[in-house]
Amino acid sequence: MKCLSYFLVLFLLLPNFNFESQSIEYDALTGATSPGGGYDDELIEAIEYQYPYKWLIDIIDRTENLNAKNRDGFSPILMVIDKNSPKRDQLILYMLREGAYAHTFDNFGISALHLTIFKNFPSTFAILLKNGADPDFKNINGDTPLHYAVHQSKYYDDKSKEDEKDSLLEMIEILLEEMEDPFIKNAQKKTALDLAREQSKTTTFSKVVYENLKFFYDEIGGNSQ
Amino acid sequence: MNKIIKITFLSFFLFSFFAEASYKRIRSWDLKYYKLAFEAAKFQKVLKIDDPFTINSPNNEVKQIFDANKKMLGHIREIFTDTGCGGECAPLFFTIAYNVDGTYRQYIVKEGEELFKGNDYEYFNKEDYLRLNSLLQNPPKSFETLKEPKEILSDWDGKTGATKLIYKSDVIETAALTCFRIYQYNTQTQNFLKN
Repeated sequence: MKCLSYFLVLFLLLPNFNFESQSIEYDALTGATSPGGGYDDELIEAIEYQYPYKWLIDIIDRTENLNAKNRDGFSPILMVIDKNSPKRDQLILYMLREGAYAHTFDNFGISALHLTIFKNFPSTFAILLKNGADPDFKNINGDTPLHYAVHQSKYYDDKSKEDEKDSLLEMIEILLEEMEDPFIKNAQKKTALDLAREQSKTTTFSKVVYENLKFFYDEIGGNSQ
Repeated sequence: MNKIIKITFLSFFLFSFFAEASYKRIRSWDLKYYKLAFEAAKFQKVLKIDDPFTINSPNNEVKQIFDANKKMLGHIREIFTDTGCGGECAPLFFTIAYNVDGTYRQYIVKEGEELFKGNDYEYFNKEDYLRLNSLLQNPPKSFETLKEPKEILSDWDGKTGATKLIYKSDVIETAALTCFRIYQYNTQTQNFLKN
């Protein structure tokens, strides 16, 4: 009888196991699927290996699903940002026109916006935001792009380029304008301002970021404490 | 009477608030290019414009450019289209600056927006850009009767073709479609701004 109940439990659980080789991942938010029968598709590989622009355009033209992801959850748009492909913004604009989603993210919930902040690509950031990327989206740590930008600010020191610092500040400013809820807390229950306050003593630039954020939070009347 | 004065003041206040609010600071990544045409550029306003040439067009804006004192310096239009061959045409990105009165001012080459010619995607050289600049300053008469870019070509195979002899002197060699597409947008934008 005991043996029979084990079998019954096993039988009931079996269909819930996820066999990687058979599954086609479906991303409910973006509608993106991983390509059936394999992961890496031609376009992602071509971007990864830095094919010339002309070839990439040809491959984009013949790619059916521009939102297909590789095993790391990288879509072609994420790959272009990650690899800093030549004519990055133009490739992204072209893919967006051909049906790619601006709101795309990898297996860790790192969205295209998070990645542009990490790489400090403000023009790409603006293109994505204009084309529907979600500024309130959280990665698996609950960090929004704004949290991410604040995190990043501590890596900018006195030796960093001034224009890169300005770009980061501008991206933060745009995020604050565009976010539905700038008071979102991450998994550690911290808002972007909490994070900024914590790291404000790390570098001079971190302090600037904190003061900017504090000014904004005070302006919109939120609880900045 | 008091009420009327209050409403008038309130409307005036709201109007001036929104009028002021529509000036936006030009972001640093655009500013470095806009400064090539307008050294004192600082603010921008967006005007809406139709795009009769590109399907699902993202080119519905002309930017008015202002200096720090909100004095208008001119206009900028950024275009993302294709060479207009009707099929799988090469994408085409370009930016043109116009004067306050809507006349052509300057072609701006942004990083990543370098133009190509020929089937091998050979980059435009300095002479090509100078030639393009003069074509936009003094548009060729022969273009006025053309309706579609591919009318410029003979032996059309759906993607490429040879430039017809009558247009050869009016375009950059192996970049006829590109020249005509830029001409189309340039003319349309100037007409819009002048009117």
